[in-house]
Amino acid sequence: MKLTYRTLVSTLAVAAFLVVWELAPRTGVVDVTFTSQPSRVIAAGLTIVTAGGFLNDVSVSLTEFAIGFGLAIAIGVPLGLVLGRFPVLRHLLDPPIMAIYATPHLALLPIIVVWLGIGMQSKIAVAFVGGVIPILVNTTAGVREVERSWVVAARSFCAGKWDVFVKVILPAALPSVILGIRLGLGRAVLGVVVGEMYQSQAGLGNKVMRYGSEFRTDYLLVYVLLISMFGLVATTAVRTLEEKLWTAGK
Amino acid sequence: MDARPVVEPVPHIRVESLTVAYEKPHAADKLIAVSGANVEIARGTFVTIVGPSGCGKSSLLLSIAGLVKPAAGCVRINGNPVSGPGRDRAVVFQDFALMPWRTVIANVRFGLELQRLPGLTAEDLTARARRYVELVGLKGFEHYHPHQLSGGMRQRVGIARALAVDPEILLLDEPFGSLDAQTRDQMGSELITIWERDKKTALFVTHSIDEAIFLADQVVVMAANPGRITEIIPVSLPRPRSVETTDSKQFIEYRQRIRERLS
Repeated sequence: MKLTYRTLVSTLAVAAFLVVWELAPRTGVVDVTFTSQPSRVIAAGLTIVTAGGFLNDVSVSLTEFAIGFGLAIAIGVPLGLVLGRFPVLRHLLDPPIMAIYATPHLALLPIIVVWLGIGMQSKIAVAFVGGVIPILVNTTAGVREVERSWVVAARSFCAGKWDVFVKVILPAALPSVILGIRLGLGRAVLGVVVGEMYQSQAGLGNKVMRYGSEFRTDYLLVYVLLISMFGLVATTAVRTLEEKLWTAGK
Repeated sequence: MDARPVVEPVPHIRVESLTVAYEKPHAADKLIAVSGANVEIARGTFVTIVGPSGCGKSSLLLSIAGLVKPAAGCVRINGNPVSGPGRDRAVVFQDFALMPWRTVIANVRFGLELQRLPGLTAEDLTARARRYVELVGLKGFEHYHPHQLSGGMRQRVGIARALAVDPEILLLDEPFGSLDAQTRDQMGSELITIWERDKKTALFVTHSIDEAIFLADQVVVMAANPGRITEIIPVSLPRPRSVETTDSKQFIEYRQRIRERLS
């Protein structure tokens, strides 16, 4: 009962917003060039999807994200596990990692473009740098925070180092690893989009930038909406995984 | 008369001038936790170690478990020196040390999985874990997670996990230390009931004098600074023991004797 009431209020709020957005330009209160309208955005969306080139933009952005973020997971998780286990390596790599952690990864864009050009590689690199740091830092913390008593208990049953790693460290650190992945995800998406907005030949960010400079607000909003939807779906997926792990793991 | 020499039976556990020392975090010298401890424990007896905090009673137990390396002296089991943990021993920890991501039955299975006993399939391990879950009275809670259980129930899981690997020696490090008095007494009685089934050699650390006497065939009394054994007292109270036992004249004498030793 409470839930349906909440849903009702939320739905009404969204509907009211859409109605105001649609009517305001018609009454002349605001300039449609700046705000566009739901009807125009829908029309622009249909045009974009049916016209050629749309799938190319989507696939370029998705590829950049998938490779960059995939690399961030593939390198961040194992490296984080190793750093968590071996203090010497941690002391060695902590300063550079902290330096990158403190730097907004988007500020590295100009130099990355100088190194890797305006193609997909530079976007992959920014997505990777953005994604890998939270994954690395959280994985390392997850390993370090494993209760000593669990390790001692495993050893008391004759567990070797590998057993301790597989049966204690990994499952204990898993929630932190997933948390790092969730935080890294947002930064990787941001890296791809802003990277494309900065210098690129194709991609969703490229189109946002282009239509923005052309004052074609309706087209711009279609792409912004697509990016939000992707972020929402991906984050929800990781969050669901996280919750599954917590209920299974707590 | 035969001229055959009298063979002294080898004690199940023999602690020989054992010294345990720990590194101090900010000092060059070491903290002596146990200094020159000697004790012999016969097979099938229930021995308790009692003493104030910092007397090294846990260190003594963990040395026997093979989890702490002695600075000097040694621990022998069946005459063989201990160099690390072994399948012949299992430990019950004060803080339970259960894996929060594992269910009750999976926690009991934990030790079995690690010991890789030959010829046992995954189903065998689960079946065996289930038997021990039932033995400690947790039937119906197999699929609960530790955070859903009370302290007493958690330690039942800890005990089941240790018993499931069928050790010769059961080592209990203040297992009921964090439980309330009532639960504690009940768990003690149940532990004895389980112990009396197959009389494994059991070593039980506690700081409660009453608990030490109630459970034991033999009480090892320790003192602090440096941690050392001051007296070993055989307890000849008849079993089974009950609440009335603790009111008996004999029990009170034991209590007085240990208290004098500790003060």
